[in-house]
Amino acid sequence: MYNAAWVVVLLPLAGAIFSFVAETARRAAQLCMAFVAGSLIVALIVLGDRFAHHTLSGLPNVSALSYFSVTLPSTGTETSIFPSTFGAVVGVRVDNLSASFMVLIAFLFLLVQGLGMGMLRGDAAHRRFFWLSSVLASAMLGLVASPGLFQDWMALGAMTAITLLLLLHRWHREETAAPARTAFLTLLGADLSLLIGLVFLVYRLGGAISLSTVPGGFTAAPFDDYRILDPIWQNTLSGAPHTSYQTLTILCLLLGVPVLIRAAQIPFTGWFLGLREAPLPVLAAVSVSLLGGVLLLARVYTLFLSTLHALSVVAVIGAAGAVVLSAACLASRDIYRIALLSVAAQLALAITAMGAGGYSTGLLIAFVSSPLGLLLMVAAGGAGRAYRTRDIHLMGGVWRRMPRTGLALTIWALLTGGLDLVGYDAVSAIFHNRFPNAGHLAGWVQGLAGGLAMLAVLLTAMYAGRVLIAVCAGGPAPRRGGVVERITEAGPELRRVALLGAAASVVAVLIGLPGVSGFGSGRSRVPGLTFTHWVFYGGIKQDIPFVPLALVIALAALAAGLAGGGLVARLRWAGLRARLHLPQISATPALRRAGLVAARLAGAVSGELAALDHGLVEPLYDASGEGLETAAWSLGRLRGRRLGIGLAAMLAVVLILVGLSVLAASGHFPVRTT
Amino acid sequence: MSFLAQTTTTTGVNFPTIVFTLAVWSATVFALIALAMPDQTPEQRARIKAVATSGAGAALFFSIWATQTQAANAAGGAPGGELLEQHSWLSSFPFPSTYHLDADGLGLGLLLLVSVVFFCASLAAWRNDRRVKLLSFCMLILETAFLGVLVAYDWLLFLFFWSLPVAPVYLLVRGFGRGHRARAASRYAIASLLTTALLILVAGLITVQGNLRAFDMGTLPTLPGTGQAVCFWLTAAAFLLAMAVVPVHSALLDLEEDSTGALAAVFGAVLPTMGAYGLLHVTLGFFPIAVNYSLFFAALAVVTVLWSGVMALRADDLRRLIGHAGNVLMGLVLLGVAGHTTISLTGATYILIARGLAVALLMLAASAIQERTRRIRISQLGGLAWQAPHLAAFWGVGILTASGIPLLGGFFGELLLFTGAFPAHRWTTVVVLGGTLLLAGVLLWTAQRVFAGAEHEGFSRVRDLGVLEITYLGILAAVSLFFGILPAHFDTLFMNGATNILYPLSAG
Repeated sequence: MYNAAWVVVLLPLAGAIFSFVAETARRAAQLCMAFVAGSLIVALIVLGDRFAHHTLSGLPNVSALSYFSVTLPSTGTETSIFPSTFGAVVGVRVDNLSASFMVLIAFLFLLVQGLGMGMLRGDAAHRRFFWLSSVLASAMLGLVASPGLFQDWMALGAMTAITLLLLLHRWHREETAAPARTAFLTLLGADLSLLIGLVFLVYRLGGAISLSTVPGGFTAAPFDDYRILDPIWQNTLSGAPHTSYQTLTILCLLLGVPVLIRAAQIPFTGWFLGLREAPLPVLAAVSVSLLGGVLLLARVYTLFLSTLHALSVVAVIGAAGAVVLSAACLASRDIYRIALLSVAAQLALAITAMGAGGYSTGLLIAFVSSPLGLLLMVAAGGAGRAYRTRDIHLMGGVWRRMPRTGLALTIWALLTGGLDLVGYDAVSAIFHNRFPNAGHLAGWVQGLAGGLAMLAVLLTAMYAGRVLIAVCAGGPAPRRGGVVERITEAGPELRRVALLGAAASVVAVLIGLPGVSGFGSGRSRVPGLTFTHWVFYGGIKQDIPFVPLALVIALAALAAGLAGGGLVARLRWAGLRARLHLPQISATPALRRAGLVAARLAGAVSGELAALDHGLVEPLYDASGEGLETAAWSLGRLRGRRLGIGLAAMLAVVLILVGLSVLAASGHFPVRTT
Repeated sequence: MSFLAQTTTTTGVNFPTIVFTLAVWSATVFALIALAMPDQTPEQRARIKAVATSGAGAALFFSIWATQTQAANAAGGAPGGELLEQHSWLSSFPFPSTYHLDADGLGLGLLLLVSVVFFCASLAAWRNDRRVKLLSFCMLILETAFLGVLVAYDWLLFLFFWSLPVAPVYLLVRGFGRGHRARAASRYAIASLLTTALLILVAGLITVQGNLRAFDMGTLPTLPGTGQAVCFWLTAAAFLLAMAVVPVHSALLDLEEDSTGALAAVFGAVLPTMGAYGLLHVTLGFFPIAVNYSLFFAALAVVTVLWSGVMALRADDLRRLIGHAGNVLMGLVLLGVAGHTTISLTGATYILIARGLAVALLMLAASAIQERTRRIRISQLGGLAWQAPHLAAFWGVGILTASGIPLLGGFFGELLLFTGAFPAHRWTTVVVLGGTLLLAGVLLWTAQRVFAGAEHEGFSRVRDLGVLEITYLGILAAVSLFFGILPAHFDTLFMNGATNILYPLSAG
């Protein structure tokens, strides 16, 4: 049955290939969607089988093919550096994590393609979007079901290339060129970092560890499988002669950077935020691919567990990222930008929880927040198209004019604001502060991460409330060319996608409920099969305990955040009306005064954050995309003489190195050779 | 076991093994046929083109045959296998020479690359109607020369094949080049003759000092320390000049810039590859002292990657830019040499193949661009994807192959190369990796400048690729995809080849 996971991975790819023979673009799109739907069905069957037969064991089933395998010559000294049989496998690894996330990924890509059906009709690149998104789905499913880091690297590399092609959807527009290039180069940098990590892993650990102690009978190269997930290997790792604190720290850095880049976390957020000129379905597809970062972190979690302070750094970076991204959400008026920031902010909370030892909790947050992010994008797409703007302050009255889109936005806002329990999960994981290997965060780190996480939860509720009130309440702002009567409900395809997204979000929240335990006894016992009982690290199940304080904090944040966000939205609306010399909202003078003070305060804070984001963070990323032009322009201005001097200097360096090399050959200069 | 491989039949008759001979000389046979054909009318010229394509096709067929035969064999890739050909040639000479053809894994891989590139170039040459006979003849002779270098296991034979391209390349550049073609042809001829002179010197030194009393390359010379060092530096200088690495890269870049169409693809993809083959096969394989100079190769790799990357950034001529990109990838090969492990050399073999495919694809695409727009300067191009989306797609495949994106030709080589080189040169490996990022950025930026942007008024009549162009570009893209998806098909072959280079006594 587990070989069916191959089908899950390959079906979208087959759909992409078959779409080329379809006569019309619409038929090609339908074909792609049908194959992704087929993949979803098979993924559900695999999940069902896993439920039926391996409910609690957690042991993986691996079906793998040798991708390459070479035997090193016994003559040289290479076998002291590398494993004597050097190779890697590709295949599918079905464990509880991959079985669950394969369903999620296939479902999300079905939604993305549904969004494409609704929003890209008549688009010149209609067919291209569908086959590319199918290939991206296949690559992501390959990543989820990957049996080892080698396949992870391959899948992520393929995702990089497909992301570039997707971002070039509107290749003829100048404003999309630099962001696409920035995104590609940043993601390629992540892939290269992962490649160096793999190389370093082979070099430092490949020939040093006795592989016979590893369970599962794997005897090939270290990235053949996820041995680093196994506790026994972890014990071996800590006792290996070549494994030092420095080695593990370097490995964490090399593998941690791709995690942060892939998940668009600070300080690598700019590549993702710069994409907002791309069509919404493309943004949705790319935002789903951010899950890859969290999944990579989950797969190399043992490494982080084994390294002193690594998880503390992850927790603090995640929490700080959640605060910054949520604050940027609060400061933004562009609903597409808010959607992008929201996805990254939620993943930041997932990374925070994993950094605090909540492996299951972090994955649960990623699981719950992904459909929610997509739900916002669907709703934003419908509203943006109807209002012909992306500025939330120019929207309003969605509840009245677009009731179904309004309902979707309400569900999104309430869930994101706190009812999805993401905030609770993150805060409770920090309060719980217990790693799967019985370690924990230092007290001050726990305090710092906890404080930041609570602030992030409050800000999250605020921006959710602000978006809800600004977009759904009141009426549309009067503006040149705006005709209120033209604002009508989104088309049936978008409505269907929104409905599915909302239903999936609610289901995802329900399966993650904390404190649910099994009941009954004997054969009639019903296990407490929530997400955290199902996806866990190694053999250690992590229940999310019911922490009343965390729940109180989360609910308080929800209430305060929604109220605060709503107030900010209404007062901004009032300010706008005042500038346009329109009738003011009737309110008592005291309330108005208090409101204006609050509005000024919120406006100042959010304005500062927006200025920071626009003035500092974005130009840094733009620079990496436009840096090539700048460098070429600067080089063009250099005179030939300077180039000649440069070349002469480089030649001098070469000559010096040649001299050193000759000295080394004669034994007068120490040099490392193999 | 192939039909043409050496087999013992039930009647006890041994068929001679002639696969390598057929692969090398079939092109020459077709060249002679083409030479004898009239070329007055369009029909006659078309027949000559058909003969030329058949010659390249025959060479490709036998190259695939040889490679497949060895790839299917667990010990394939080590010299002395079933396809070995050795016959007495100049036996009454003081230093006897034999007709010795053989190939290790490296040679077999490059045999495949060269024959694929030439086949695609012969298809591309169908668009030329000027001096058809000269073009066909010279290209087929050139193919014979390159294939001969890859399978020659006798110094005399090797030097013959090595010096053979000088005249055809000179004639082709003078006859079909553009711009400063006379200067480019002269500079190439001087560089090529210089490398030949250096290699003749080395062959003489080895034969005399090594007490070989023969020109056979199958036997390792036993040179004293100084003699070995001298030979090492002489061969390294010759082959580095042929590889056109920084700082001796100008001659090849001029050649690429001032050539047109199929010729630029051949020169860019194959000429430096021959130098790399020589460096790996001769310099590393014959002179174990090379391990002591790995720092030199590492430094040269860094300089080549960074310098060529920066120059690519500044280049405005499309072909020159591709030439610089090819040089960056050649820097990666140098890193593999510096790594001096079987893994890094296997990676270098894959990189050489990916480099050849990417450069050939991009050069042919650049020619298609120039043919349509009459422009080759990047600053004068833009928005071409409006009219030529297929051309843009093939260009994309080329840059993704060069960037080492998974499931295309370059990625697997990068993995092996960096893994193998890292233990010896950690920081160099990281810097070179950074150089590949620069290369990817430059190629992507160029693609956007050439193909993206608003529709160009002057290009409104530009047409997309035709069937012929899609065919030869498609072949190159398909081979790149094949090497990306199924690299394991050749891993043992190339690994045995690398083992033979580093540990010649234990190979096979």
